[in-house]
Amino acid sequence: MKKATTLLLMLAVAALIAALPIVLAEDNETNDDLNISEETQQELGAMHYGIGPEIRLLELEKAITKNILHGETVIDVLKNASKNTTELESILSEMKLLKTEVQNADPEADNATTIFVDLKADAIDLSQEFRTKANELLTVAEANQLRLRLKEDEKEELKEINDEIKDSIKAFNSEQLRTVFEILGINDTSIIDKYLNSNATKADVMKVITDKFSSMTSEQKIEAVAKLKEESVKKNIFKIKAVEKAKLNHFARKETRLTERLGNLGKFNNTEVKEKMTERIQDRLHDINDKENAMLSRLQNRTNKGNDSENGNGNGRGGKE
Amino acid sequence: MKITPLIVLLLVVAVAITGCTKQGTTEDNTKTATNETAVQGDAVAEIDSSLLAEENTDTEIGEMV
Repeated sequence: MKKATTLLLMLAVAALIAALPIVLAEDNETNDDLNISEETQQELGAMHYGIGPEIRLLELEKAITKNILHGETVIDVLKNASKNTTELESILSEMKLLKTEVQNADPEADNATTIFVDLKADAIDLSQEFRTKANELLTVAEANQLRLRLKEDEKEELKEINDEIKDSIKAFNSEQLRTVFEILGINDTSIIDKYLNSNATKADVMKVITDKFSSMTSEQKIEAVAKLKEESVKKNIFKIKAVEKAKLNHFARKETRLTERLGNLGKFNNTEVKEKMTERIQDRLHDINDKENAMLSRLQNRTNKGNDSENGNGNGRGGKE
Repeated sequence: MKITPLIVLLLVVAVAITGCTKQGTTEDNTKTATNETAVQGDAVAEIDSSLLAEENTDTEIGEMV
C-alpha cells in the first residue's frame, strides 16, 4: 500500500514536470532572442539551494577576471607590434565594469538567477567581440602562440578566487549532504565534517551513502529514492522557472544595464577609449530599440489579425463567406 | 488399465507446473535483486549529479583569442 502510494506520488510529480514547460510557454510573446545554453540552465539549478547563487556569481567573476587578464596580455602584444588597440581597450574596460557589477550583485536577491543570466550573457558577448577584433589583428601563428602563453600564466593569478570557490562548493555540498543523510536516516554526520575540513573526499561520503543503501529494506529504499527524487524535481522546477523569468523583459533589463554603464564611464581616464566605449554602448542601445520596435510591430499585427478574425474580416475559416 | 497413462500424464503436468513456478520465483527474485541494485545505483548517481556541485567546474564565457 505504502509502495503504491509512493509510486503514485512519483508519477504525479513526473506529470507535473512534463506539464510545466507547456504552461510556462503559453505566453511567450514577451520573450526575445536571449539564448540560455544547456550549461547555464544546469548552473541555475544549483542556485536553488543555500549558497548556490554565491558560488555561481563567484565562478562568473573568476571567468571574467581570467578574460580580463588574457585581454590585457593580448593588448600588450598588439601594442608592441604598433597595432591600434583602442577598440579592444574599450571592450576590456567594459568587462571591468561588468566585473564590478558581478561583485556588487546580491546573491540573496529574489532575482539572483536573472542577474546571473544577464551578466553571464554580457560576459559572453564581450568576450566574443574581443576575440573577433583581436583575431583580425593577429596572424594565426601569433594567436596560437598567445593561447599557449595564456594557459601557463593564469593559474597563479586566479589562485585566490579558485580557493574561495572550492571552499564555497564544499560548504554547499555539505549542506546538501546533510539533507541526504537526514532522508536516509544516517545519524553519524562526522564524515561530512571531515569532507568540509578536507579530511575526506566526496567519494568517501558517497561510500557511506552506498553502504547505508545496501543495508536498507526494499520498502525503505523506494521511500528514500522517492524523497531524493522530490528534491531533484524541486530543483528542476526552479530551473525551468528561472529560465522563463530570465527570458521575460530581457531587452528592458539590458537597456537599463547599458545606460548605467554609460553613466560609469567617468572612471576611465583615456579619452579615446572612453569615446569608443560610448559609441559601442550607444550602438547597442539603438540595436535594442530597433528590436523592441520590431517586436511591438509584430505584436500589433497579430492583434489586428485577431480583431479582423473576430469581426469576420479574416482570411481564415471564420472569415469571408 | 486405461487410467494409468492418464495418471502418469497428470503427474508429468504437475511436475512441469511446479518446475515452472519454482523457476518463475527464482527469476522474480533475481529481477527484484537487479531492480533494487539499479534503484540504489540510480539514487547514488542522482545525489552526485543532481544535488551536489562539481568541485572543479568553470563558468564558460569563451576565450579572448
